[in-house]
Amino acid sequence: MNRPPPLNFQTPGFAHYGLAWSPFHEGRLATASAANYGLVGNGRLHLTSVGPGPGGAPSLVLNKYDTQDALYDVAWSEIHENQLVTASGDGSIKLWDMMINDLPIRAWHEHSREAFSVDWSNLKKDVFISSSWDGTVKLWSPDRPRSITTLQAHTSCVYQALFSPHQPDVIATCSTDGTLKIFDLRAPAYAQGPANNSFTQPLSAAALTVPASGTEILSLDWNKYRPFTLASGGVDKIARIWDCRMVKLGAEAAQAPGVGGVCESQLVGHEWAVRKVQWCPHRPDLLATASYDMTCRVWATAPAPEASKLVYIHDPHTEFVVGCAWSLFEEGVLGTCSWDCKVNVFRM
Amino acid sequence: MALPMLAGSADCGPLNPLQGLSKELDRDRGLQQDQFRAPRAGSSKQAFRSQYAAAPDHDAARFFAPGPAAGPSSLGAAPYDLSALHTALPPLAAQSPAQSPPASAAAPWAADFMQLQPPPAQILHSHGFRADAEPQATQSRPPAPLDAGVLNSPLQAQQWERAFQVHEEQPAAAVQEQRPAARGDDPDDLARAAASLIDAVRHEQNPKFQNSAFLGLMKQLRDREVVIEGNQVVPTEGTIPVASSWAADFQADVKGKGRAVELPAPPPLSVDHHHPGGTPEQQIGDAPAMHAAEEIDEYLRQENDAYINYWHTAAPPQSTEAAHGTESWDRLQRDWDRFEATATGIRPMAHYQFQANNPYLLGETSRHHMMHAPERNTMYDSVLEMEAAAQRSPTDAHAWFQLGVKQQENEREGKAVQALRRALELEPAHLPSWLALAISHTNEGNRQGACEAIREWVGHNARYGAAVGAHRAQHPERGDMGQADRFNDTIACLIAMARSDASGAIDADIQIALAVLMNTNEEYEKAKDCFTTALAVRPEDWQLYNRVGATLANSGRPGEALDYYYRALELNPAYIRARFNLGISCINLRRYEEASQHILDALSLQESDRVGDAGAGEGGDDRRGITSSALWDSLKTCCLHLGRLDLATLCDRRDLDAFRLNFHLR
Repeated sequence: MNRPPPLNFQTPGFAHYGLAWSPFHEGRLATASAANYGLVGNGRLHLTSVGPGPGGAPSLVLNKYDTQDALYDVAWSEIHENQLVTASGDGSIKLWDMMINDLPIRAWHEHSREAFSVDWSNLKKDVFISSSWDGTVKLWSPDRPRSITTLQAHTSCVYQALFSPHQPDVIATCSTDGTLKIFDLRAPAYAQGPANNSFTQPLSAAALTVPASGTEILSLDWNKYRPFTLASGGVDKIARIWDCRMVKLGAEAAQAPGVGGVCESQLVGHEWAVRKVQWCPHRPDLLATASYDMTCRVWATAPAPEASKLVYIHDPHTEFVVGCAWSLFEEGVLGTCSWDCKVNVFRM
Repeated sequence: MALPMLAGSADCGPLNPLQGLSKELDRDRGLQQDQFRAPRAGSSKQAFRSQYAAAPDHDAARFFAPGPAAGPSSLGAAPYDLSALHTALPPLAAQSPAQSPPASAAAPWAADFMQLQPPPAQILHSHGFRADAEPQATQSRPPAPLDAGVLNSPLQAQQWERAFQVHEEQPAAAVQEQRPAARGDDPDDLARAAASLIDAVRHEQNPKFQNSAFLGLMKQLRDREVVIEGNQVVPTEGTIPVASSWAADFQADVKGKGRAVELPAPPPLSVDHHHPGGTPEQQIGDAPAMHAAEEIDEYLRQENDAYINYWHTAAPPQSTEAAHGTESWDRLQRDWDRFEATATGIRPMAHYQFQANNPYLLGETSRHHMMHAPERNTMYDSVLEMEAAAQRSPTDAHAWFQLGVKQQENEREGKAVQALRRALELEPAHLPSWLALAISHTNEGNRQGACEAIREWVGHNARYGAAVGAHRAQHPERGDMGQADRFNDTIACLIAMARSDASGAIDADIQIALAVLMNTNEEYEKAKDCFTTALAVRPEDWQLYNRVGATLANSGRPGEALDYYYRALELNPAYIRARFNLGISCINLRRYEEASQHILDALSLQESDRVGDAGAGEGGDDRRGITSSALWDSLKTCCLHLGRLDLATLCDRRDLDAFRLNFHLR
């Protein structure tokens, strides 16, 4: 235990939408936020770095970058320690460099509606993806002026899109339509079928579609240890663990898009919708969930017999908890962010 | 009792407040777009659509249509879309509400005039109720549709007025004068969205929700204490033309009445009168000298002035009057809200929607009903009979209780809760209702509600008064007890009650209460034990079998649950909830074919319990309220797993008949 969490800091006037730990520096935390709870107005990217200051006391450095529109998500570059990418309410994607103040070093505007998530690949470290309420997922490289690929992933809002931590070209998405989908970027194809396709916006074929819920799925995450195990959370208040190993990738995916997914377990307890799910990077069976019930909970997905699945409840937030992120460097340290404008970092 | 599996059912309202909201806005907008996209596509062809042919606007349409009249080209600097204008016209001449088109009629108006203007300072973002300063490139974002009654609202009038002003290319100042008012409908939409959000969290007792700044802001938005102005949320000044949706409706109503009497000649109508033949005076005075187009201009200008004058003279008194009304209505609304918060009365009663045209309401109590003892044997009674009973004697707590239990069995949790609450208002000490309410809350995933209901049940239970008193003496209640403490205290109290019975007889109700609490706390093994203990005393209780099954299923043993569901269905074949639970367990066992059959049966049962010949026009909507969306969603999941996309589409449409037809077709 080299440094003692918990730690709290506030960003008055800016309600949070997402947070992310730096993969390069212990204690660096980025928070995407929006004024007026994202109803109207500006956004702000906060960078916090916590380090042992003079005399050993923890010191806090805060940096902020203002944007014209609400920021909904943030992801750190996996290739450049000072860079991060944000998704904003006007559909634009912006790349920031900590060393350059005030303005982004690059901006792309292709999504026609709110961009709601960004994720940087940690296998192919020069690409990242964004997902948007326009139903698309776009693949980007910081060096290119335009997106590399666009997937028409769903016909409705795509709340999150994430790269698989095991396979470089595989992504998972979740959407308003209640499904999780897994796509293989190496085998792009259009979905067959008369009903759900249009000439102008053909739906991309998913390698696997998981009918995960009757209501919206707001968040998903890949298990970091077990390939093709995913967690989902959404409006039905339940977080679910899915075994998707039946997925067929590559050319096979294009031939026979599958429907399936086995629900391994259900984590019941949140009193309102689950807004964010995240697997622990240090253990294969630990999942954190943030919810509109103003709590963040940690679950053991494979508990000992008779033991409760619920491991920990973090209750101090006073508004919707919208994001949670495990520290990549220290096991068991979790950061949460909320509409009460507070970021809490604690050890569970 | 399907417990958490149903926590997401739509019966208990929008669950994620934001998603609920955004969905709502999305839907509104979709509707609206559909309705004005169509006419826009084929403007000239549709100008003479048969449905409008008889309406007085017909001539107006012809007047505006491109062709011999040559009106628009000579008139208009502004190339705005006349087809949309056209669709909005009919109601003006035909004022009766029956003839006025659906809510959308106001929207194309607004949308089209908005397009004429520079983009309004702020437009509601359709999804997630974001308002956004920049106009979006791909879509014109029309303001929200207004209520059907709003056609006559000042907004409408001002748009008319503005239309004519633009037409005449009058100074911009006049137009700008209207802007603030025109903006009014965006906040209106936002306020409605905020109200629905507040409504969704109405029963949330968590103090954090009551103290939430965000929800506070939503309340202010709903009550019009703040509005969104540009990029800011700002408090409103004293005078707001439309203070709340209540008030808006009221106001529209007033206008409607006033206008039906007072408005002799709305412009399009008079244009139509004048133009083809021309009025005698005009013809005499001007016809020889004037070019046809100028003539039209002149008429328009005159009519326009008349129209504007009319509204300037007629509207102000009305609007002040309306503003008065608005204020008082607003106050009333606020009082009403407060009332709802403090006294648990009245509202649930208002909320429970009986099915219309209930045949059991005709005549006296049905013989069937009388044959049954009022107590237990409600198996063959339909919801309709129960509703009739409750309607006939609306102050009979027992009737409401039975209705509530029946709705539970029929997998309509929301209605069950409303009925049970009503029963408890009438008779706060009705123990079975408290227990049933606890179960409903458990199904909704409302842990706190369930715990509170059990506590009430304990508190009102006279039989164990002594035991409870002794327990309270030992463990006094503190105000600051957290949720977990209250929970544990309740369990301890229940155990004390069970032990207090010296005879050693088992009280099934205590066991059920314990089991419900264990279930909410996910202690499924203990819950199952409690339920099976209760079963020992009540071996014929189908609900208990179903609950044991659901408890097993929730603890990840769907295979074992099946037997209990089968037993429940043997005892009561019409038990919809058990059938649905059976289906869900089959899904979890990956027996999709079987699952879809069970869920289909459950849906058929649900549907059979409705008024057969409900108004033909509303048939679709009516049915939607009757069958619950949780069932449809599960059925859709099955169909997706079975690879039957065709059937999944039918699930989305909630089309039971078509589904049954296609189900066995391969």
